[in-house]
Amino acid sequence: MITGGVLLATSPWFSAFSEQQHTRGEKARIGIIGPGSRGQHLMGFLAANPKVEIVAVCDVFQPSIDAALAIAPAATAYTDYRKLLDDKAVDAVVITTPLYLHHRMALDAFDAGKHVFCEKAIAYSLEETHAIYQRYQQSGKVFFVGQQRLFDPRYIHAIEMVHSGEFGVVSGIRAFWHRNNDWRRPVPDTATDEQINWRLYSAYSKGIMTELACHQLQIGTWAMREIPDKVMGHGAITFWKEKREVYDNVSCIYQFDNGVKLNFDSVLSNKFYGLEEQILCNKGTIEPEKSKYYYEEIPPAPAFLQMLNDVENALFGSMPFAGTSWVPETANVNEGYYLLDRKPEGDGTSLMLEAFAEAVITRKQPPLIAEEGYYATQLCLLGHQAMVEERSLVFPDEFKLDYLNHKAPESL
Amino acid sequence: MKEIRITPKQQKRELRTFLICLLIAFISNVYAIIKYQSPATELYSSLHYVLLFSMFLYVAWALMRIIFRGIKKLIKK
Repeated sequence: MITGGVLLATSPWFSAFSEQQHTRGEKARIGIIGPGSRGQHLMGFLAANPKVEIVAVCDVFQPSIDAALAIAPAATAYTDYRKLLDDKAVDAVVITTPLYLHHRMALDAFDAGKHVFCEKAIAYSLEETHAIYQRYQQSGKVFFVGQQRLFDPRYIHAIEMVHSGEFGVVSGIRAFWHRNNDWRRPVPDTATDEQINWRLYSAYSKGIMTELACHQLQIGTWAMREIPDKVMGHGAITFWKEKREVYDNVSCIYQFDNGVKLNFDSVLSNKFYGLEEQILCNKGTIEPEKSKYYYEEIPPAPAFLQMLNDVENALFGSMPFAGTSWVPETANVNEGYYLLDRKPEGDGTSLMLEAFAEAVITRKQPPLIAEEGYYATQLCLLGHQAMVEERSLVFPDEFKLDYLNHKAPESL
Repeated sequence: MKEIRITPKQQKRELRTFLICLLIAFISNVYAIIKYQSPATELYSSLHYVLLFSMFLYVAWALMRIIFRGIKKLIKK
């Protein structure tokens, strides 16, 4: 079981729940900007939270508004997000619009005095992401980014074990996310392909990096407690060539100061290995997505079996007809151990939204959560830039914050 | 149909045979623990292997006895 102390050691953002008892009966009044598929998914959790009232929804696509109103019938519907921001009944907004719209909407939301939950990636460019973070700091409002792994018990336990030194020194991190589909969704008559399949157009999205890598790169910095300073990579469109402007095949290498690498790769035409983040340490390996860990040194098979094995090998080892051994050879296979003693409930999204609601009610920003989201976005954008420019890039000083191994330029 | 009777003497003999097999298996485990420098806890944690092995020895010995008896009968004829 994960205790409160452990949670705060590895995940200080859980302090959002510290005043949970005192906020009973209070409500966070939330407006949803862009309740498409992801927005509706989040709304499902918000609607189930007694401390949340979804008071407004906004979208330019009527089917999305209809679906959102089905989840929150009492909400006021808007087609212009600025009208929603003018609504005094709204305390906070959840922005789940296409990536290229985040920047303007987040800035306007802070200016309107709203707390902001923005889906990852935060923004389309390094500059925009930095501008949003700065505006958040000036605003004194709450700012959450949709990095739900920060609230996932599997990941929290995994990182706690890494930080405790249980597995020795982190020697490398391999993250991959493979799928076998083109991400294309059917386009109704009332919409354009760009509206529905915006993830495939480079003017609106940076594809794999902003949609998938963002989550996994954050695991790397969380485990290492350090921001990698260099990145190189290569991306290409290798399989899904029709009406696609973003890569369907990418590979990036991020390098930390001590030389440790964080590798990310994604192929959208093979799903055999699915997704995982493998944290490789000198004494063990952790695979949080599988909820498993493995020690490098595995205990040998019982002596009795070893002896039988040796006898069998001595007797039959050289016989050409000898078949499969009857001694269980699997005894030495590293099966690993489970991170949790129970089946994980969800992927952290529900807890993340509960934490956001608590933070909105208490008006207290939990530590580090905005910074983790900020760097996850900046790293995926930098990786994308390295692939486009086909060169190794160093994290630009002007976008550094006072966080972990980084120092903001103004504090130097 | 021929009635098969196992006399108390035979029962004792079979029990003794099985106990000898069990002892051999147990001693083999002790030897293995020493040889492979395994923890002494395997004296009881590997008991199921020891029991299985003793059963294997007992069955093997029973088969051999049956074969010996068959050969003996053939020679007598």
